[in-house]
Amino acid sequence: MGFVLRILVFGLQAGAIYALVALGIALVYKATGILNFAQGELGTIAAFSAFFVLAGGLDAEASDSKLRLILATLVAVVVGAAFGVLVNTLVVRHVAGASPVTSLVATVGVALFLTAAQTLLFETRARNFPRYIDGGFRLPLANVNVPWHTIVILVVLAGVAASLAVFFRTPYGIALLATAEEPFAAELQGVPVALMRTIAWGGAGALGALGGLLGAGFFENLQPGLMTTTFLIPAFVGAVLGGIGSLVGSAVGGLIVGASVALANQLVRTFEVDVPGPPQIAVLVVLLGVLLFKPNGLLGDRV
Amino acid sequence: MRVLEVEGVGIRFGGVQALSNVDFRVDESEIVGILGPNGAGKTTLFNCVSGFYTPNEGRIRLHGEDVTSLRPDERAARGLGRTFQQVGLVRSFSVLENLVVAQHKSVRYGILAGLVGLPWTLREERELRRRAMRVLDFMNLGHLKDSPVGGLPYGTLKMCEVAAVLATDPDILMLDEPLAGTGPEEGEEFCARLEDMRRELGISIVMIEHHVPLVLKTADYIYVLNFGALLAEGLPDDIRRNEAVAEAYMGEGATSLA
Amino acid sequence: MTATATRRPSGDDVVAEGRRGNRNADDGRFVVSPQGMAARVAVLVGLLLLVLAIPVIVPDVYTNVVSRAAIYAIIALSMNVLVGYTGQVSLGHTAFVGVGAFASGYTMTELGLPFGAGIAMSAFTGAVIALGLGFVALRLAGLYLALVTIAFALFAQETLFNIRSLTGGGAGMPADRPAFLIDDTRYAYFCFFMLALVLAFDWRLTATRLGRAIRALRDDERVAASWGVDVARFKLLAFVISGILAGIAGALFASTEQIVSAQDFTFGVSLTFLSMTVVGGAGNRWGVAQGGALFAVLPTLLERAHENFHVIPFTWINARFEPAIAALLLVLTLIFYPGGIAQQQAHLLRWLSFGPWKSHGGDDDKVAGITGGSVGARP
Repeated sequence: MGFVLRILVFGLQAGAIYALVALGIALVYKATGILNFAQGELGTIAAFSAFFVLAGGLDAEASDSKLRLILATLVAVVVGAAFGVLVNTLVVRHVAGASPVTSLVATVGVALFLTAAQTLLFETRARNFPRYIDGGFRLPLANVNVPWHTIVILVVLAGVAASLAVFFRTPYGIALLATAEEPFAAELQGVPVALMRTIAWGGAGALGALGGLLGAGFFENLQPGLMTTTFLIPAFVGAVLGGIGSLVGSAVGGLIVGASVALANQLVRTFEVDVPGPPQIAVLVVLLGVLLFKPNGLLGDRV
Repeated sequence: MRVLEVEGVGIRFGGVQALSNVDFRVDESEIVGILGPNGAGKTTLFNCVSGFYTPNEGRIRLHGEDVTSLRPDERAARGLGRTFQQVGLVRSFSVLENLVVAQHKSVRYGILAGLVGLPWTLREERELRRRAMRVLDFMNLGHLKDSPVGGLPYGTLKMCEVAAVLATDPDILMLDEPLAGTGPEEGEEFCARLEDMRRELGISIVMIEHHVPLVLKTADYIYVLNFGALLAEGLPDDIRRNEAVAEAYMGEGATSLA
Repeated sequence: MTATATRRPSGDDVVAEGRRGNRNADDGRFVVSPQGMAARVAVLVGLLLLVLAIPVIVPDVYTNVVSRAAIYAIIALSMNVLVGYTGQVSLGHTAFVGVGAFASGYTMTELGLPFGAGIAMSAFTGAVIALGLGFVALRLAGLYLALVTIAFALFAQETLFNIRSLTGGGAGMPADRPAFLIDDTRYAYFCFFMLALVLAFDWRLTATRLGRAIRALRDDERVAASWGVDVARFKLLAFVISGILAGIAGALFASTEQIVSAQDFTFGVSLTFLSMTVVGGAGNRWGVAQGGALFAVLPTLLERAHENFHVIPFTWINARFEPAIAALLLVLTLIFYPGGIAQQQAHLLRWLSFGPWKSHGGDDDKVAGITGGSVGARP
C-alpha cells in the first residue's frame, strides 16, 4: 500500500506538469490541428521573463518576495501569450496548407530557435527559481514527503482543465472548435478564423507560461531549453494516451505517464537492476502500447 | 471463361450495411457498366473487388481463382487493374514515369541486379520506357510524357490514369468514373478508345459512371446498384426502359432513363 | 479520331526544346547535343576536381570537419530514403546512426576485428533497428509515427547508449582507424569514397524498380498497390536501406574522432539531421547531400568568418550562433522554399544531369517538401 502511494506521490509531482503541458498541446491541436513542438519553450521563455522581474536583471538572484512572484507570474503569462501569438503569426500561419508533419517540423524549428536564442542571451548558468509555496507535509501511510508545490500544480491543473471545459461550451469556444474542424465553413458562417487561431495560440502560450513557471519551480532552477528537455515528450505521450482531441484526457494521460515513470524508477531501485534511463523506457512503452492497442487514446475521438 | 466473378458480396461498416448480396460477372472482352445513384455502394464494391476492403460475405474470383483473401497487389499481379475516384497517379513523377512505375510487376530483373546496374537491367529499363510511350501514344497523350502530374487539368489526369493502368497489362480494367470532368467530345473519344482496348488488347472493362447515355451506348451489359444492393441487371435497352431504375435516379414518376 | 487543339505528335517536342535541336529518342528521353554535352562535362569535371582538392587544401586542424561533412551527407542521404523517397517521418535518426557507431566500435575494440568488419556490423545493426521501426511504421503513420521516432531516439540516447558493457557507458567506446587511414587527410578521402559509393547506390536505387516503388508509396499507397507493389515489403525495404546507410555513417563517425559516446547522439542531434535534410531538399540526393555538408561545417564556417571578416554581422556572430542559425534555416526553408537547396538549384541540377535547363511543365520535378503536401504552393 505504501509502495503504491509512494509511486502515486512521485508520479503526480512530474505528472502534474506533464498534464499541464499536455493540456497546452491538446488545446493547440483541438483548435488548429497542429502538434505544437514549441509548447515547452513557450513556457521556458515565459519563465525567463518571470525571472527578470524577480531578480531585476538576468544575473542577479531571484528575490524571495511573494508579491514579486505574483507580479512575475502575471508578466510571464502575458509574455507567454504574446510569444504564442508571435509563433502563429510569423511561422505557423505560413505553413498552414501543408501536411501535419510539415507543420510539426515547423514548430520543431521554432522550438530549436527559441532554445538557441535563450542559450545565446541567457547562457546556461543555473538560476535559482522560487516555488509558490515552499516545503511540504508528510503523508502518514506512505512515509513520504509531499511538497506543497505539487498541490499547487494539481490545483492549477484542475482549475485550467475546468476553465477550458467550460470555455469550449461557450459560443466563443464552439467557434474555435468549428475553426479547427471546418475552417472554410466557419468562415462562411462569419467566424473570424484568423482571430480564432490567434486566440488559440495566445491561450496555448499562456498555458505554456504556467507550465514553465511551475516546471522551473519544480526544479527550483531555470535553464535554457528546460521545458523541452524534461517535460515535452512525456507530455506529448500523455496527450496521445488520453486521446489527443480530449482536454481532460490529455491531462489524465499526463498524470498516468508521470505515474508510469515513477513506477519504472521505483522498480529499477527495488529490484536493483542496472538498466539506464528507466523514464525513457517507460515513455516509449506507454506510447507504443497506446498507439498499437488503442490508437484513439483512452478518452479521445479519432485523430 | 469468366474473367471476373463476384458472388454474394456483402460488407458492413459499423451499423451500416454498405453492400448486400451483390453478384456480378464479367466475361472476356466484355464491357460492363455499373450504374446507380450516389451512395449506392459502387466504389465500395470496387474496393472489395480490388482488395482494399475485405467483405463480410461473398467470394471474388479472377479467372476462376478465388482471390477473396489476397492483397491488392496480389490481385493486380493476376490481371486486375483499377482507377480511383481521386486520380490515382503518383504526383511527384511525370506522366511517363508514372507509366514506368505502373509496369512494376512485369519487371523481370531482381533488386540486387538492378542496384548493381547489370547490362540487362539497363536494357529492360529502356524497354519499360518504350512500352510506356506506346501506351501514351495509344491514348493520344504522348505530348505530355514529361509533364509533371501536378500541373495537369483534371480530365487529362483521368486519361493519364487510365494509361497508367493499361501499362500494368491488365486482363480486366475497372474504371471508377473515368469520364468525370470530361466534356462530351472527350467522352465519346474515350469510349471509342475503350472499344479499341477491347478489340485490340482483349481487355474486359467494368465501368462505374454517372454519364448514363454514354454507358448505355458503350456497355454490353449493365448492373444497377441502389442502397448497396443489386437493383437491376440486363442489356442496355432493357435497363433504359426499366422503371425501377429510372425512379432510383430521377425520383418517382420517372419511367425511363434516357 | 477527333483532333483536339492540344494534341501534337511526339516529334514536335523538338520545337518545345528549342535551341540546338535536341532530339527525343523514340523512348521519350531528352537527348543532349554535342556542345551541350561538352559544356556539362567540363563543369562536372571542374566541380569534381574542386571537391577532391578540399581535403588537401584545408588546414590540418579542419580535416576532420571535412570528414564529418561527408559523413553528414551520407546521413542526409539515409534520411532522404525515408523522408524524401518513402514519405515516412524520422525524427530520431540518431538511433540508427548511434547503433551503427557503437556496433563498429564494439566490433573493433571488444571483438578485435578489423575496420571492415566494423563497417559490416554497423550496417547490419542499423538495418535491424530500422527494420524494427519499420514494423511499427506499418501500423502507424504521420504524426503518431513521428512521436514514436522521437520516443525511440530518447530511449536509445538514455538507455541503449548507456549500457556499459556494449557502449562503454560514460567513458565512451573507442573506435580505432586501421593503420592505413591513421592520417586525417587519407581518412577524409576514404569518407569521400564512401559518400561516392552511397551516391552511386542512391542513383541506381532511383533508376530501378525498387526506388520507383518506394517513391510511389510516398504519394498514395493504394495506387501503388493497385499497380502490383507489395506495400509492406517495400516500405520495410526502405527502412532497411535507410538503416544500412545510417549505420555505415555511424561507423565512419565513430572512427573520425576514434571514440564515441552517448553524448554524440542526443535527441537534439536527431533534429539537426532532420533540419539538414529539409534544408537540403528532401527528395533530391544532391540537395540533401549539400544540406548535410552545410550543417557539418556551419560552426567552423561561422567561427572562421568571425575571425577573418571584420564587418558586421560577422563581428558579432560566431560559432555559438550556429544552433540559432540552423533553426532559422529550417523555418525559413519550410516557409519560403519547401524544396530546400534543391529547389533553388533546380535548373542547375537538371542541366548537370544531362537534362534540359528548362523543364517542360515549368515546374521543378524531383523536388518535393517533406511527406506529401504541395511544393511551394504558397498563396
